[in-house]
Amino acid sequence: MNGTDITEARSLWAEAWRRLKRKRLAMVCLGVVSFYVTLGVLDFIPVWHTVGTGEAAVRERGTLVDWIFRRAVGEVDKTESYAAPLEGRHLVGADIQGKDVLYKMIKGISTAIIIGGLTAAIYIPLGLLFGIVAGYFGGVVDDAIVYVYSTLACIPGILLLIALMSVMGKGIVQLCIAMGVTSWVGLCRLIRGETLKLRETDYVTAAQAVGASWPRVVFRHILPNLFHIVIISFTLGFSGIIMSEAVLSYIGIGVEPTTISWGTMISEAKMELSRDPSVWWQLTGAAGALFLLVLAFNVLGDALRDALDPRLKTQ
Amino acid sequence: MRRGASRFARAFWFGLLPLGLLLVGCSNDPYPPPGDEKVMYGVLGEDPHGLDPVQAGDTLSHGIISQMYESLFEYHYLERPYALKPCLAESMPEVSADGLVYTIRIKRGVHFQDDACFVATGGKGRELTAGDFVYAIKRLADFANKPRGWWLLQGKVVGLDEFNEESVETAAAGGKMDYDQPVAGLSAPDRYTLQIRLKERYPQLKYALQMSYTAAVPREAVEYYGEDFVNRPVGTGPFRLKEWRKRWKLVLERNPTHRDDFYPDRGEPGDREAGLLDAAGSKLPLVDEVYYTIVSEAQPAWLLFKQGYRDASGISKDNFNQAITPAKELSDEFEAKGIRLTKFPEMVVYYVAFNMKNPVVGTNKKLRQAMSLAYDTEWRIEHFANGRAVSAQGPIPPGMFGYDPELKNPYKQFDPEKARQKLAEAGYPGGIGPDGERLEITYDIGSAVPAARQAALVFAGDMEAIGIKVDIQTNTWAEFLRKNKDGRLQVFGVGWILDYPDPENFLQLLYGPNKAPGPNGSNYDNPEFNRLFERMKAMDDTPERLVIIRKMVDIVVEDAPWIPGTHSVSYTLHHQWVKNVKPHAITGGNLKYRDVDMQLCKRLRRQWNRPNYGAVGVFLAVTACAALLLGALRRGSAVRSAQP
Repeated sequence: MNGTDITEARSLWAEAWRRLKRKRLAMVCLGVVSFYVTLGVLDFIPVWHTVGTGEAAVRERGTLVDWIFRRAVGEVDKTESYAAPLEGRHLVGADIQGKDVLYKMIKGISTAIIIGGLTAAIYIPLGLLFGIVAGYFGGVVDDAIVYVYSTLACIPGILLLIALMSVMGKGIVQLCIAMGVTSWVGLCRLIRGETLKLRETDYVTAAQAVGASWPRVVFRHILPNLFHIVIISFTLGFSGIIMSEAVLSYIGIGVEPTTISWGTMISEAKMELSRDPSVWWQLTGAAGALFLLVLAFNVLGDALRDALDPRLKTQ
Repeated sequence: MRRGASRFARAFWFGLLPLGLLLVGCSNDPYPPPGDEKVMYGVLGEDPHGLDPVQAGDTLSHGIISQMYESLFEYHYLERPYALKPCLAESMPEVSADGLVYTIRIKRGVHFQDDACFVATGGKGRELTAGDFVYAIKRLADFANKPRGWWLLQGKVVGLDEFNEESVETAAAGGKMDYDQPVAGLSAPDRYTLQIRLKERYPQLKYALQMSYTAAVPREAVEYYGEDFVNRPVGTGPFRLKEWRKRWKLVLERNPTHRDDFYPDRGEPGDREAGLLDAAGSKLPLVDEVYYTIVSEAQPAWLLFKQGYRDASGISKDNFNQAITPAKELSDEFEAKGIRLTKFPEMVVYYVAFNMKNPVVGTNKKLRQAMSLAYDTEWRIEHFANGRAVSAQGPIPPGMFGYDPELKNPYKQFDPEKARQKLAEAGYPGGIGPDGERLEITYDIGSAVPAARQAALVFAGDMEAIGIKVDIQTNTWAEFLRKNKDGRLQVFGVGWILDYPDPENFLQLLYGPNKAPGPNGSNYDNPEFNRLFERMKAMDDTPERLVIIRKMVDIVVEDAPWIPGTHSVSYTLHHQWVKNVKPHAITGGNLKYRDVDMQLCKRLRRQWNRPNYGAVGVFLAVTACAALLLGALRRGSAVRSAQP
């Protein structure tokens, strides 16, 4: 029975990959996401550099992106305030402080990856735990969980986020906790519904009949059959999380000002458009980077949903 | 084919045509149709933080409150230098020979506005008496009212501090103060005489009695409205509140029972030629209504001004080049619209303060001096103020008695190399402390708006250039004040706008006993400075006072409890239909002097906001073409799928 399960699970992924590969647009989007992730990962690779000279010299940790830009573009120079794209050494222009906008766009990727990843690391376990528990055990436990998430779902998400951020203060970790705590309801609903269906399947009933304990049933027979939902939910939710960060940073309660994110860039740039001459590059750069990633994730998410849908398997 | 045509016809009659008519019929006028009355239109960036005079601590709330409430004295609108004149007082105060007793006669026949709170008179406003000022000053001392201006009278009036201390205990016990209990230094010997006895000489008292904090408040209104009093202003002022819808609009209307109050007939030389005395002797206020729209975003507020839907506007740094030429004059576009530009130096100082109680920055003078040397003021003036500011060298702004134009603060000359040397002398060579770690400081700001964040990032950049890391904390204003009160700030950016034209108002920001939660947020406490302050504060503007002030400024320059930032110069734009505009650096309660030419206003607004029929036509044509194209494509695909 177990052997059959594993074989089926493998074949599901293989089949999904085969179907995904046939969708050209989805593959382009996968390429775009991979490109972003690669750039983002570069910003996690630590590079040590020396600051100061003589006795005052210390080794400080930077990232590979910092190192590349220090080499290619040089240090930030305030005299290059609002340098236009291709003007001097700035490919996509500079902000008010003379900071390279392309550098900020790439730093924004790593911030987005941290926020998306950390938030997912909070809301996916929460959604899985509560969804499986509610769906598998039913009864009072199910009623209690449904009551909790129905209540949470009644509160407008953005208001709940603002309230949580006001209590916890600014910062990436706080932001991820706030978004994680407010994002698990959708996944929980899906998981609960799927678990309700799965617990009635023949192989689960058979496992229970031969005396398998509930943890064994859940972890060996139910959980593996829920992963496709988690993957789809993560892919589609990731873009929502990034946009939430942008909205919260735009209204000034997201990440700290020293953290570069697309949201803080858009917030900074909103008045720059009306300057004469107009400073459009920071807003365009951040919004463009955000748009492309969100679009790619959404198209990929839709394609994944189709690819992982067991009902479409035989088509 | 006929089906397609009929579909298009349906779409045209039921969709496009009504949409087109709607667009053509739409106007961008955000206001209700005007009648014959004169209305001034303004914009507020946010709602006032309540309309209780004792809480008028911010300029926005003060600007609204001072239109409805009046104090004993007011500033002359046209005369300069800034001078007080009686408002609700009959004359200027009679001061005893020792300077400790102030006797003030109150104008007779002044009434509060009609309001339901005056139950005894059936809603008709009661006559103002001296007792109303005794009550208002007690309210300022009552901790339960969260007074923002208590510092003005703290330690000044006999018996008032005791009243304040008792109010703290009473509030802690959940009780309410008894306003009938006497305060030794406050009395109303008769219905129209107010007497104030001071503990020590306090020549600035007359200025305190001009501010909204000490405005006349009817006890009936406070007791009738209770907690809601903050939303129910009842004053003697030229305007009264007509409507306040939070986050939408706030409308003031002429107070029909306003006292005999007339436009001044004297001013500075040049005022008559400028037309500022045309309304001399006219009964105030000159307009019937003031209509404020609450717009939190700067860009829509700016567009409202350009469309003529707002009478006056400041100029944000990002819109500066649209309105002002490099020669600091109006641009051709604005000149052609007849917009007028007013420039005047604001009595303000923006600065970075060090918390002197903080073990890192408070105890290390050389570190503060190094940070001051690394602070690039000129760049800030150019990029954040478009050149509309001067670099501050000390706490006193230009135009104020005690300001020294020759003063060159040695630690305020941007010099990163010298800053690095000083930093090394301070024990942080290259920013590295004795523990081998990089020095990291926390910089707090009381706002999260992008401009404030950008300024904080530039501060961090300046400090990073000499090796100091900066962690920026953005706070709401309330959070910021709480942190300041609790001594949790390390380095922070803040500003002070003049309350009254006396250098004491700026120097008290550094007076030891005024430490947080008082106005001395940096907790600077230098005994020599304090001793000189105590001598200076009670003096008239004499050469001797000037010498003392210069000594005090020298002490502050050397100790560097602040990095003095800038003194700003205000650039304000007015449309041509607004009359009697003369900027005033101190008071916001000047709307009663303003007038508008409504006919001109209406005509120009219509001219500037004509419906754009061409654009509507193009929009409809494009939509119709798109609909036809889509229809054709769908028909084509239907035909293809129907083929075997």
